[in-house]
Amino acid sequence: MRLACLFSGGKDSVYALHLAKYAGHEISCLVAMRPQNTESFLFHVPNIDWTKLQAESMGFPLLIVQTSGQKSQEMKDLKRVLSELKQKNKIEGVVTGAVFSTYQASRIQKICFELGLFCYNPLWQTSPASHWHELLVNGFEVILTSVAAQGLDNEWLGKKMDENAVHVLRSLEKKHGLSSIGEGGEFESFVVNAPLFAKKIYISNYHDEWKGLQGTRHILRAQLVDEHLRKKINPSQKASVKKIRVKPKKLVKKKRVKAKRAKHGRNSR
Amino acid sequence: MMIHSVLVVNCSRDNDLLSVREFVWPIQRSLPVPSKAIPLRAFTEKSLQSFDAVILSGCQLLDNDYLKYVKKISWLKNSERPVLGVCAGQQLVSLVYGGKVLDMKQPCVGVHSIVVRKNRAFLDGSLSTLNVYGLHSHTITLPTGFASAAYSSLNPNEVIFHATRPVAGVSFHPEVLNKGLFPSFLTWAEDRLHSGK
Repeated sequence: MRLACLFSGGKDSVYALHLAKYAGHEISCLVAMRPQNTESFLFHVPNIDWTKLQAESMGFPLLIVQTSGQKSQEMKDLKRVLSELKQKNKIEGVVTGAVFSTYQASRIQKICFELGLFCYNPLWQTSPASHWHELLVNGFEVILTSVAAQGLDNEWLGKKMDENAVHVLRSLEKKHGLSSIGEGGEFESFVVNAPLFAKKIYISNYHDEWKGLQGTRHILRAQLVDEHLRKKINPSQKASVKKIRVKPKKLVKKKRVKAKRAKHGRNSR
Repeated sequence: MMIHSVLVVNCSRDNDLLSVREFVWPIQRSLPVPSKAIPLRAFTEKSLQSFDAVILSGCQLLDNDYLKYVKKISWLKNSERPVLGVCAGQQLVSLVYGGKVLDMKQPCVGVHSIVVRKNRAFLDGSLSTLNVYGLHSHTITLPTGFASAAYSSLNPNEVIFHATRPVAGVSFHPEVLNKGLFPSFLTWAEDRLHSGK
């Protein structure tokens, strides 16, 4: 089936996309909603513009849609976009990363029904322990880009999630009653590497902002890097990152040869 | 007879990873006994032989493919195994027992409240109302031999059960809200099998 993926760049939507692709569906495009209101009820806010790097790395077209972030308007904007995608891209359904939120899931289900689109929620009702386990076992590299809960201090902002971090989150869940997968807005995440990524995302500059218990990591500069080259980068030398952007010499040389042949009127084949 | 294993039938059109994860795994995780899942198209009398009970799952809101299988599973009416139909599964139970499936003017999507009747079958004995998660665009008529255990403003037959057999159906998704209904159903079905009614 030809699907559009409601995409935020966080662990849930990237994993839902992964599962849809793995199940053999065709991904027509990713749809990222950018709410002006940071208190959006439905959509993920921090660093939404950096989804362009994720989309590029996975090779999927990305549509970033501006929305007011007001309850009713958000739904209208989403419906309009999905309607256009149905007409232009011939999508037959939508895949979302909804896990437990009946508020979010039911609203998207209604829109899809009205438009005659299937609505897939492959993470639906997955337990937090299974969810994190599946992500880590499948090689997802996830960082936290915002935190807003007791027990999640500045050490958690930008933290790369691993088994230990998940274990601590699970104990905070028991202690403070927070959701260890961030269902109640306790945190937002951003995927920097995943099985569908051809290149990993390297964040070279960021700014942390705190408002009371709420911390947000704003990504200021990031780029795609090859995994093997990434290992050579010294994090303290940001300038060295730029070198990664240089095209490989062999490629440049081939292009020069092609140009030379073309100049001399020869078949460049 | 004790129920030691359950067969969960995926009523989705495509028995792919997405539908299994969304409609089948949540049911399996809610069950207190081991279970196995199979697609509706593979559901035969033989496939149920090694299981003590069957649960027919729900499916996508736009998916009506399961309605094609009513004749194929008509043998279920004569089976002695406990049966619970969830959403699309409830519609199949109704059709197999001679009821009808009707289109709703508006689909039922999201959380709504149902009122529990006096004869509550396997529903929690302490609650008069229950918040449930619905995802369907059809309702059913009550088949002969069945009673309704709960209703709402949208649907008079939110929960149905057979007068004598361990057969029931719910129009909503207990795997989303009210996961405890699955073990309650199994206990109720065991009691019915013991008492012979």
